[in-house]
Amino acid sequence: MGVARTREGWGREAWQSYLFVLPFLALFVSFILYPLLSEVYYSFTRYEIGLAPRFVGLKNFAGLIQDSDYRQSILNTLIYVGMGVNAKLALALLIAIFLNREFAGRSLVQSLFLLPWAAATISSLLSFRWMLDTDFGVVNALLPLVGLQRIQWLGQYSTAMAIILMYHIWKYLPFWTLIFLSGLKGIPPDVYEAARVDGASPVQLLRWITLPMMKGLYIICTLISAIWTMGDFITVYLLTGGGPGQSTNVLATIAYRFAFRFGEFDNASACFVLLFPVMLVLILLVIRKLEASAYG
Amino acid sequence: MKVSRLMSIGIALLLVLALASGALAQRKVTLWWTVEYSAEEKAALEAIVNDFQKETGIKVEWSGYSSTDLWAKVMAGIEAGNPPDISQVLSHSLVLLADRGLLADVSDLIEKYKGDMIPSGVEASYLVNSKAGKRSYYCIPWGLYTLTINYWTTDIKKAGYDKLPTDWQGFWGAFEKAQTVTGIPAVGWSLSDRAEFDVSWPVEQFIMAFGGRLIKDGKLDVGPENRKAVIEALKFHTKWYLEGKSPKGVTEWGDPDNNTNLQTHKMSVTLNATLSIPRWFYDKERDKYFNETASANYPQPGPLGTPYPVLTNIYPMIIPANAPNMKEAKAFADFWIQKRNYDKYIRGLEARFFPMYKSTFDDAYFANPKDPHIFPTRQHFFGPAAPVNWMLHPGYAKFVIGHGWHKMVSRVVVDKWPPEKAADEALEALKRAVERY
Repeated sequence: MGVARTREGWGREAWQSYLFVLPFLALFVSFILYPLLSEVYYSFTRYEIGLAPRFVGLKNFAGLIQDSDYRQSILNTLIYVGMGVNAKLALALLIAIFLNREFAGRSLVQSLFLLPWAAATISSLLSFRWMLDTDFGVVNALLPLVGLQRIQWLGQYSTAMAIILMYHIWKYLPFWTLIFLSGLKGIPPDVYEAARVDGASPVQLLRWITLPMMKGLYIICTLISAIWTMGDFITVYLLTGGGPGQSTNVLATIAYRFAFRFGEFDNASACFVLLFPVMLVLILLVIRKLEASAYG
Repeated sequence: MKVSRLMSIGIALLLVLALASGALAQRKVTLWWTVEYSAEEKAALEAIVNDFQKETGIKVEWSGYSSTDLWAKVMAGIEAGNPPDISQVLSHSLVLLADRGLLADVSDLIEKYKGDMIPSGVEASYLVNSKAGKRSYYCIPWGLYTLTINYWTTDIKKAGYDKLPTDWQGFWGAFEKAQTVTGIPAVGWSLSDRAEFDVSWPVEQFIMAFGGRLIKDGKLDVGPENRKAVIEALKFHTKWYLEGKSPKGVTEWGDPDNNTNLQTHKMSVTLNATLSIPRWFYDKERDKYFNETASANYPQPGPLGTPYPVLTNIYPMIIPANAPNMKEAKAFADFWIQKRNYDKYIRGLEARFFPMYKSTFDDAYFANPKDPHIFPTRQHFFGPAAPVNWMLHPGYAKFVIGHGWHKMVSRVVVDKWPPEKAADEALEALKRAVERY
């Protein structure tokens, strides 16, 4: 009200507001908007290392769609995001519900459960790789003891993709569990109390109180996790290097391959620009959901 | 009046200080180098850096990386306009960078020392620059290397051989026989995307052995004869794994894995782009270096009964065309390759790489016939030798950078494609890569 009351007052306060926002705005333009617009621009040019960008229209996109490695990376990204995010969040919710109950040693279990998230990503990825090594790995050393043959975990597509998914779930499950746990703590206990008085069973409490009240948070987490997972580079890069035969690349690793192995910044940009519409929809959904939960 | 006079004096002082600091600013050169193998290599680098600093007063700011990290970093540095003054890259990316006019012409340095340089190293440094429409010297081939053959002599002896046979069938057959006696897999080389030259180079070498000459006079030839050579090479390259004569994990091996597997005697023989495996024995288990392992020269004649070239390659020192301190970079490169300095450096690498100078090659260290590893490998440079194909064409280099051969191998061992189909897919991809240039 006071802000717009007088011309003089509005002007002074507005200036102050702009001043406070300016650092963020400068960072936003420099590190988000400019790179983003550049990437879109480069995706429509021929821009290789040492060459000035030259407009070529949709040629890069047409080339990418014909590239079998790129198509495979799209499929892998869909599998990685689709299966990784959903399995991880469903498990996270179940575990959060379990950890939300009172039981002896709960703090210890919670702390131990958080360990994978706290472990350094690169060390844990390298440990995974060594544990799954066909010749020296501890996993394959144990298999013959139970009468099974050694498996080339990272040397064939199906098991390599499964390991990539498994690592992702193992590593990030604790984080999302923590988020859900805090969500569960936010449900007022008297709601459960009232339902119990009315004779609701534990399953009914879960079905009619916990899940509906967690729905908003769950959707937001799914969307955010999908956005983060879509850009994940290091898991695939360190576990398989995109192999065997370039079959486990995801968009992030194939874009890296274009940019830093071939010096083709045009194709690297186009890889991600093709993904922008999907990202944009996800981001808009997150924003709408957040607004709905704030004002709803 | 007083204030303005004071201000004038202040400004004048500042100007003098600024000019003086500019004049006094120390000249420097930025060096990005690979430091990935041994403490000795790092010490050799530090020694040459210190000597240069002492002699010229030019400061060297150096940092060390693994070869694959360095490659990406150099690409990013050049593109961002913030490159090092001197660096090194893997040979296939060297070809791309030279082709796009991104490297400084170092003909002045090469011409100065060319007389004593190994010709194949000089030849491999004479690269195409499409941007300038010429060929010239765009790197200094400071290290030469070749695909070495390292093996356990003990296995061969157990199979009843005093020495390895020198013909193709006999040579490889000895390892097959050894497996039947020892139970240790005969052969181990990477069949995985996680390795770089450890896949491309053996494939190229076997194509040569089977009579393939994919680049002739700067042009790609994927005609029936070469197709046949690629198929035969692919069959030979993968048969060991498919027939259970390799460690099972070769489909996941990165570049260091053939080292560790031979060192721990998980197979009898491997191919490796440097002598890093014997170096490890020399440092850790010297008795095995001299008495239980050896390196071999290539069996000649080849599988077709005719001689074939052994492929050699260079480890290049480059100066980016947009290096900020070009004069200092050239001075440092010149200092580095002066024989008195160069010999100390290359000797410090303990034969992981071979020298670029003929006179250094003749040094007792490299020419000692009693050395079971250095001496036989040295012969690779003096028999029929040729540069690897990716040095001869930028499109070919791009195919190799894109792991074209890796994919072909993977099609056979992972996807179980017939070799003919896998070879056709690879040759088609190679054709497309070359057509762009």
